[in-house]
Amino acid sequence: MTVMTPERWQRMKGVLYEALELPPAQRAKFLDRACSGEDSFRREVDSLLSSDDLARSTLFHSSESRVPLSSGTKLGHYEVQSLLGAGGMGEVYRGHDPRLGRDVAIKILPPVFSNDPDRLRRFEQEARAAAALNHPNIVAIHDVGATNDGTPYVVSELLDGETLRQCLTKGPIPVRKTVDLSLQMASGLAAAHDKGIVHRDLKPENLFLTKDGHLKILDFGLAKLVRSPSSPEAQTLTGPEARTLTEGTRAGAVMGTLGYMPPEQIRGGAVDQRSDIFAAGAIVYEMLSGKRAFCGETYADTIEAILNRDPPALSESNPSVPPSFERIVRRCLEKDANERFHSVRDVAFALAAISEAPETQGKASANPATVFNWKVALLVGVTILVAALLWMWNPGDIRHRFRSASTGQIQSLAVLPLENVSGNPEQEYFADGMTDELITELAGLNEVRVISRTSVMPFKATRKSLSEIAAALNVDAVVEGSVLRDGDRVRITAQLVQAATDRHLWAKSYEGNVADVIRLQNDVARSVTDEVRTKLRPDEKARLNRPQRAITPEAYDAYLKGLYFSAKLTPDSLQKAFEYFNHAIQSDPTFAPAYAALAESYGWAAGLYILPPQEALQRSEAAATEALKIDSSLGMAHHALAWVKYARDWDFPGAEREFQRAIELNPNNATAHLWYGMYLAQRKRTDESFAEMQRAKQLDPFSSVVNSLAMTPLLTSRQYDRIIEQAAPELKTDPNDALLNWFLTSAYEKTGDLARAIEEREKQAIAFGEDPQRLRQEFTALRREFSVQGERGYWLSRQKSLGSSSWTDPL
Amino acid sequence: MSLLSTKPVSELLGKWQAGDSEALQALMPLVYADLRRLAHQCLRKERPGHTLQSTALVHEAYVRFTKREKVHFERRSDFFAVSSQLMRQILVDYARGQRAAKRDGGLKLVLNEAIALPLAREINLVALDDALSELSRLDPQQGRIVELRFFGGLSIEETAQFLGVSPATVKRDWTTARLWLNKQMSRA
Repeated sequence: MTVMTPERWQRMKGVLYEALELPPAQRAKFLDRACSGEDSFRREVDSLLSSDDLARSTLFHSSESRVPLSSGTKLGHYEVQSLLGAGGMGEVYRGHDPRLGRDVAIKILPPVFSNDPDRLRRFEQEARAAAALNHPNIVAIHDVGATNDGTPYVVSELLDGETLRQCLTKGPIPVRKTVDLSLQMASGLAAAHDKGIVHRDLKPENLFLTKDGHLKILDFGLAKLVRSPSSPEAQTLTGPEARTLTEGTRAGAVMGTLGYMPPEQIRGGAVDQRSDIFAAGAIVYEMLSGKRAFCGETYADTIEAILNRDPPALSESNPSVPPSFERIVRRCLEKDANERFHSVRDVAFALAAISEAPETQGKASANPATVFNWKVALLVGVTILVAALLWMWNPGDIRHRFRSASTGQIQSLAVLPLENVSGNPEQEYFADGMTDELITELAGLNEVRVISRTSVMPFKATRKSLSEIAAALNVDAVVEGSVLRDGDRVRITAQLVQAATDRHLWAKSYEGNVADVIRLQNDVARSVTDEVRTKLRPDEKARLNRPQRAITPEAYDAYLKGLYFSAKLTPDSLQKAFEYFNHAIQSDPTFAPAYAALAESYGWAAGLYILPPQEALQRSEAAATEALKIDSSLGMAHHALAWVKYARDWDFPGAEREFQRAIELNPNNATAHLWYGMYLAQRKRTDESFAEMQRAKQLDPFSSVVNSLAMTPLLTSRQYDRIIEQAAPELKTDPNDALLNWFLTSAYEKTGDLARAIEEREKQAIAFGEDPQRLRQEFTALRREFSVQGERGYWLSRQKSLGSSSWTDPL
Repeated sequence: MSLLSTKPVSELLGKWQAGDSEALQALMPLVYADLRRLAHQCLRKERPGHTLQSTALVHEAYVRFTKREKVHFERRSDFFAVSSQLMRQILVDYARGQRAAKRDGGLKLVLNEAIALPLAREINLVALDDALSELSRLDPQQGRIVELRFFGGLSIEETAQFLGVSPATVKRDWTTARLWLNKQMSRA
């Protein structure tokens, strides 16, 4: 071969270019003329031109439309009928399967496969995996095969409808419809991700909307085979468009494919399910706004946008997009995969919540609180349920991997206040009540510490992240969820999140009638239990398995309202709690938990001197006894009874027995530990008391009542300085805390610092809003007595005022 | 790098913005470090089945540079154009090093997706570099065009603008260069 010189090359360049401009059929004639008499020149030109053909399947891969198959062509036993379209994955034909007598879609893949056996093998593997994805939101793959020239094809179900891309040309999609479609997409993706299959090339072209409203994901798992992960779109287009792109000109339409790819994929990094989440976010963004999330004039601009820019707020282009939806989309589109939702199931969960919120409900609804769309909720529920079931049934493998990836067992748990998504603030008590119930249910389980309701309530509607909350409560895992109530229908959605990894271990939705609500709660509790893998003791199992009796919605309602108020432990709230519990009992006299809760509330009323102790303890005993008659396994009734035996009867062995039984049945009830701790302190079993107090504080770290009363063993063991040390600074942050003040005053009195004791008393009285006139008189008198008679004067004066003050010795 | 300059960045930038393209060359060592680090980070993380995109790298280097120096480039493509040389150097050096270490230059790479080069299979970067050098010997401008498009991610128009030639010329050179490179590399 002649050595190439610059001159020779210049000439050859010209000839080559001219030849390329011509249709292939005319090239030979042109070259005959242009290279006449120069055989070696001609040979080289030919060889270079043929390298272009070679390039198609190797280096400079460009897609060239092939001659379409004609109707009647046989592919395996399939009959080709007509060309449906051509796209990135090759051409799609309508075909017929005579064996099963059904119409199918046949997709013939780009020829790049035919001369690469390794690739072909991987394609078949991948197609098999994708075919195993049997999900209503994933197009069903029936078969794979190869044409005579070795080009593989995929046979799938034939769909009637349009791609999302086609749908989007008509403009943005309404919010509610978008939620629906997004949930379907999430559901399909979840099923695939569970099997370890990542789509890698989600885009509107790959989402098909059938005429009956279903969304189907196409081309699962094929992306990584057909193209490099960074998906140059020459393959997504054919004919003139591909040429345009090959020339590198600005072709807005062409930039699209790239526009859905996450930064890590652009950079060529590892791709996982979070990459699909990004793409899904970009698609949802486009559905809502009608605009691409990332789109630049040139390819480089698009890359730049994906790597560095956040798309404009959705509310700019579509004011009806609720902020909660915007947040979900943003989170999907985080540049850093770690900042995104970790699983598509989390996305579904978040979407489910907005689909229930009134802001996404139609504006026409007169009362958003009552006009609740059960269809949407049902769909959401079913979607999540299907996902959850698939998750459960998935034979071990992924679940196992998931497990081993997580760090150890869950030994402590907090149930965050369930969110009231009914859109009606009046249902707040219902959500809170359900939270309490769930806590109670879970608290009965051994080996897992479950945080009490008072300590989780501050996290209601918090902006803190789950991991922050878990850190504040010192727990391994968190249960969060929502409650939706519409008339007598109720739906609970719950998920379990492992704090250390922020991983969602489990999510599920339950629904039924209010009458079955205990069963629903039980189901939730059972699922959580299964997940935290507590070894159930026989009696625990029995408790979870005990027959679930239906209760009247009215009784249950009243009961929840009672729980809501009793948790506050103020005089007014306890009064209300009594009323509601009594109402519940009236409406369903066999509803044992209402009796038990009433018994505990009366116990508190006695302890906090809200009612005359004798009377309160009497009622507590009656209620507890009644509760235990119906259900002897109610821990709450046992510790209420113990409190009575201790405080009223001074029956210490009896109290001890009941306390132990209560804690055995319900090891996670803070009140049981607290009361037992107070009993032990009075019995001078200081160390044991400290241990119980410690447990109570762990279970209810943010309850001021628990925190204050936990100082009881300090008082009984005469560690006054430690009380002062602890209470004085705490009182500064909450000057109205009467119990704390009581402990501090007592400690000052015991240490003989009466001047300070007077000061604290006065502060307390002022904080309690007592009559200033009377206070001034009282404290002037007290100070005078004290200065004249010293200690004796103080005590005398104090005795006189006893009874007029709101607070006296709760012990 | 022999381009190291002692002149302050701001002065060089000013000069370059005023049309002195050598000033930009002098700025490049500042970019080189970033580019090299970014590339090596990506290359190290590289696992089988993953690819590296030169355009993305150049872009990231650009963003870092402009942020750090608080400058705005009128023509970002100029930056990419100059970076393309560095990119080529960094990647090829890496590939040669790898080949020396493992006797295998199989570095998976997407050089530049803007020109529709889905590298359906692993590209031998060393062979590409050799072929490109040979092409530059025959036609320096054509070699440069390939470099700008491959490693810098410039479009036809940007390349034409940068080199001061017509887009038609770039298009022609580009098309024929592809044929040349294909043939050279399939031989390699």
